[in-house]
Amino acid sequence: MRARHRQSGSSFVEIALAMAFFATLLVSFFAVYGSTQRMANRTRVLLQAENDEERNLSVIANLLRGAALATLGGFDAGGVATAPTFQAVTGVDAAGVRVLGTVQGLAWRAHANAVDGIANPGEIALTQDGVTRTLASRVPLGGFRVTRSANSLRVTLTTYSTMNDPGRTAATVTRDISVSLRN
Amino acid sequence: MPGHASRPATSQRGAIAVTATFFALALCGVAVTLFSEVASVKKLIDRGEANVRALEAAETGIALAEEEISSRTDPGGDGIGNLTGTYGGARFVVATVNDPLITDQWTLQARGTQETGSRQVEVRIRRVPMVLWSYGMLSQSSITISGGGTTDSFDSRLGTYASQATKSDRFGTYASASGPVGSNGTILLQSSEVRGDSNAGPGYTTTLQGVANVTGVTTSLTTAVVIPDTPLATFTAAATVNDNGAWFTTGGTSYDSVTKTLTVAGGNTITLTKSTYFFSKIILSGNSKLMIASGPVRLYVTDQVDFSGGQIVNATQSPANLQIFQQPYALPTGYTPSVKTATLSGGSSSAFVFYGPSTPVTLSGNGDIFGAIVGKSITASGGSRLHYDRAVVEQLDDGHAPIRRVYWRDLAPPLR
Repeated sequence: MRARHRQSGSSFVEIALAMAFFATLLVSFFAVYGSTQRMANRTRVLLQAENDEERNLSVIANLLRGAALATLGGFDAGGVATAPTFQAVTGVDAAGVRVLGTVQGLAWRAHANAVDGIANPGEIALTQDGVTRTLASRVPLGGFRVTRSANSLRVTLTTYSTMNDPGRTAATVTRDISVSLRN
Repeated sequence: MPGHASRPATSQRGAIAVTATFFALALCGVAVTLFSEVASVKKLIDRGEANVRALEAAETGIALAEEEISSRTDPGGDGIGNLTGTYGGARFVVATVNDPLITDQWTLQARGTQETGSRQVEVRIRRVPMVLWSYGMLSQSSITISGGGTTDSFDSRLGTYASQATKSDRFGTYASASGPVGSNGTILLQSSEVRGDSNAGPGYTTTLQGVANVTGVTTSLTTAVVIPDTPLATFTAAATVNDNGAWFTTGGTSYDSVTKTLTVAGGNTITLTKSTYFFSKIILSGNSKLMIASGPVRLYVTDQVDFSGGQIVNATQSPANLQIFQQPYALPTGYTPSVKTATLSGGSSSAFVFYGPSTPVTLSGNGDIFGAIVGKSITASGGSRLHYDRAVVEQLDDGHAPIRRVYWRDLAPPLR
């Protein structure tokens, strides 16, 4: 009878070994998962920054493309501006002469809230007729520059992305885009 | 005993199944999360790319519409400047409206679409007619028409002059009273008629003597017309590479390959079969003929054009198919122009355009000349009838009038 009881259950040692085995498996799994998660977060943040960068550049390029060359302002002697102004064409008058819209300005402005991992978080805002709205988000201080060359503008932009994870993962991406002015 | 022995194995299999299920679910969760993230990113990228492709398609449509307006052609038969098509997998539709008041301006709206992306662009353009070819006669210094000479106009694209010459006045039959003459200097009409405007230069006037008439206005120009020389580079290129020798002749033809002098005499005919010819002198005498069967043919002459003893036969009836440029450049190498004049004559098929801003031009005889003439001075004393071809203003420069953009705008730029 005793022998049958021993055979039908597990000994303490067997259970302990099994638990130790599963514990090791779990620890290994979470260690690998945690490591993978951190790498994934870094990749995710970088990917997010890349996406935002591309979208920001695209938005700015779409806006500047219709600017009238003669109305560009805010450029220094080297043809560089960090707060350019311009006017877009809105149509023609009765004599067929083009009519310009009001002055529009692009400039960096700071975020009110601090962002972990980014020293001076901010965004690019568009101001027209006294109304300011966000054009490109998550741009750090010094991350926006427009260089003029003939009838082209090269927009250089830095975009950051952060994640609210324990590691406060952050990434920045800097790219540029050339815009050929149509007017 | 066999039944007792199998119980522990059953409970062990259950533990393994639970563990495996746990891992499988965890992995599935990770996979689903990653997949949804990738799908989300791909959607964003696709949307951005679709917008770019849509813009490219819209701009392609605009460019094609501008081409139609420039050349005033309508390959699709849906109206000039209206078209649909695809570019790089994106579709575009362009609708064009010609301003009813400012008729040389057009507004083009193009929509490009690519899957989820859509862009709409509006462009306003101005079609700039070439002033140089807006006159039947245009001169730097003076125009004198006497002896019953007349001007009128027709459009060679609409058929022969004869088919359009349905009107008449005391100077004879004519097609359209829109054969203007212009000069940066004086205009003198003696017993002749300009059917159209006569615009003398700034500070100069149109003078009518005898039974002379101008059917249009005689307002003087407020600013002189810029009549540039044909560039030296163009002449040099023609002097270097040309089709001289590529012609058929019935005889009586003399050609000096060193001085590039061509003379045709004795009632013979020379037929030019290629496109570019360069001469220092080209002279027709004894009722000889210079013939072309197709075009455009361009003749570059540095010293003398003398067709007084013969005539041009342009079988195409389109003046733009025979273009004569004269400029007193010292070409070919070693040759110095000395005569530097042009004498043109009429005939039933004398269809050509002549451009010699530094050349005194004489129209000899009382024949018909179809086309347009630009010279330093123009003298028509024998009663020549110039039939200005309105088509040349469209056809020269490869049939295109330059397009100037008034503005470009993105009607709905994708913002945030």
